[in-house]
Amino acid sequence: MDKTGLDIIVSGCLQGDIQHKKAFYGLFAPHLLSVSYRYAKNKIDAEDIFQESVLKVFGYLHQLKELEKIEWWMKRIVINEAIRFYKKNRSLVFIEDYQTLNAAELELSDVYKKMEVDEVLKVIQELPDRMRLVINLFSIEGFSHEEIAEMLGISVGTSKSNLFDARKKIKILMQEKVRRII
Amino acid sequence: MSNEILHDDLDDFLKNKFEGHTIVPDDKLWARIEPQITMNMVPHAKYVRMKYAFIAAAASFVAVVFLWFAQNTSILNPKNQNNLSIVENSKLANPSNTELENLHEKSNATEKKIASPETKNASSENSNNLKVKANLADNSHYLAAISTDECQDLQLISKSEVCAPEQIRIAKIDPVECPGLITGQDHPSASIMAMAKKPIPPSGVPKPGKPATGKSSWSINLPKIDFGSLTFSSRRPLNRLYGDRNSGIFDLSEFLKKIEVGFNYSPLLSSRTLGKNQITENGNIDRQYFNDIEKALLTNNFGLDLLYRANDRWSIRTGIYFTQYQHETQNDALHRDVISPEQLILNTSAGKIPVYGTGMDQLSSLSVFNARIDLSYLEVPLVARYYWDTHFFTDAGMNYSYLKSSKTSITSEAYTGAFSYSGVEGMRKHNFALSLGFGLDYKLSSRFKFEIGPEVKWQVNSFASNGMNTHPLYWGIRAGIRFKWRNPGYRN
Repeated sequence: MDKTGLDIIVSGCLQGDIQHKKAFYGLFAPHLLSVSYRYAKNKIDAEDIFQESVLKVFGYLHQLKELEKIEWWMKRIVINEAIRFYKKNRSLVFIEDYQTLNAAELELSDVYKKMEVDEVLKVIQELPDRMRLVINLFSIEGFSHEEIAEMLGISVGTSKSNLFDARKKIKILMQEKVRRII
Repeated sequence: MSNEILHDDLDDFLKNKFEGHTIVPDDKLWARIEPQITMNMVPHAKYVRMKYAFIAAAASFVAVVFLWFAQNTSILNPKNQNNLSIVENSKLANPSNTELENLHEKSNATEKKIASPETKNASSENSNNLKVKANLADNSHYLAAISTDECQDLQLISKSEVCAPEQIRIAKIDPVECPGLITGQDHPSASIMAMAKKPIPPSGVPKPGKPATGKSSWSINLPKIDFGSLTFSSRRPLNRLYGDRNSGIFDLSEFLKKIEVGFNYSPLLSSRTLGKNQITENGNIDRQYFNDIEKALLTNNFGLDLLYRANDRWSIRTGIYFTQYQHETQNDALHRDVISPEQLILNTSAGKIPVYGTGMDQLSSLSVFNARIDLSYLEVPLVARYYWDTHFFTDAGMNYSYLKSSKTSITSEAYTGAFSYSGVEGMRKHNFALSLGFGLDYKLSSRFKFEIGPEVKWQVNSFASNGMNTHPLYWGIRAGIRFKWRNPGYRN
């Protein structure tokens, strides 16, 4: 959608027009729901995060100053909401207990690369909460460890350690899935 | 290296997989959302409103308290107050084991401080330059060293004119790590300053093994005696002196991230329920009327504290506060203990006060006294704090207080003068109180936040050790500014 069309929809949303809001929702909801699924451990959590995020998007849309950054702005809302969600449920309070993961060399063969995105999504959802947040924030969103530490309220070292463990865990889970397929 | 490649490979794999990925939401989701956005409901608007309502209520409470105090005048008899200074200026008899002070003499007393012959200071700026400045004083010799991780160069940028060039030396300690050393010989008022240029690390390319924070650590060794030749000592960054990350040793850097320094001020009101008391002493029972009317005056409590954030929820707060406590009472302390004619004392709610030779010793034991009591004490809190969410918290703990001084001014309808007594005789110097508080902190910037909230203290024992077992209750508003040392490592 071009900038003018988006501008019209956003203006309509700000005026409270429900049709414009529905159009806005239809435009961005699929992307936001995908992000929610990546940060959530199951469909129920993902939809809760998504719903809260959409309400926030509409609630704070008037604060958006640069329309060009609307996708990133909404994505940040989803990310923040996901972090808030898991902090609220206190599931982030666990010790780093994945140090004992098998450190054997795990290679990412072409077989894995052919996995469907839904299967990869399931693998990510199987990760423990903090690992899932860290791998999303670092590997997919591109945040630095310092930023992740600030966002999650953990130390930089813990962030690095969680990323390391998450990578190993992902490879193990992907191996298992591929074995099942073969 | 191979692991890094594999990791990068995985990162790219994940990034590519989810690039442009979408999931079409179920219609039921929109059905759940639509009613809420139709109402134009902002999530957490209730919470935001509650926050501002809380701030407004707290501010109103403070304003009301101040207005109330501003409008109320002293309950001491004005006539007697006028005479207060006259009595205070007169020399009072000094009974044994008591302390009577002339207030004017006390106020004029000055404490001379001996200036330290040594001064030194160091500063680190937020810019990309680090500065170390050493002021060289008489008969002293300092070494100031800069140790930066990415230091490029060290240059002398300024010096005082009285400092001869041969008295300043700059040397690179290690050409690889590039720290510098500045040293000067004995010279009064000489000062030197050096600046190390620190390169900005390329964005997104963190140095291997080190976070790309753009910060350098620095250390200073002061003073260090050097008799003509340069000497070097271990010049590791401060955070490494106290242990490395993940090494199991205490890590100062990690510790500092969890520390907040605060300055707090609490206007407190006090309350004591005394009523009619009966005191039994030396086998005699006297019916006494303590504090029939007690008026709380504003108690100022302020000081510095440290807050250690153990995790998102729990913190521990301690520090040191200074408290000026005051209250006025009517119908206070009618008990006269006559141990001997020279040791005539009044047993007041503020302790036992010697009155021999003041004129008050001639009063009947049933005379009505008014008293104003001023206490100052140091307080050390040990309080646990629980954060209910990112802003609201509850404080609970205990406070130890050390009584520093007390002053009791007494007037009586039956006596035209006034009497003032200073001292802590007969008072408990060590006291304990329990405290409970609620609060809200509001982020002013990345480092500073403002906090405010009501607080109640219940004193386990009273300051006066005169047989009354009373438990003063203080309530008020705690407000202050808190400074976060570094990247906090917790969510707010």
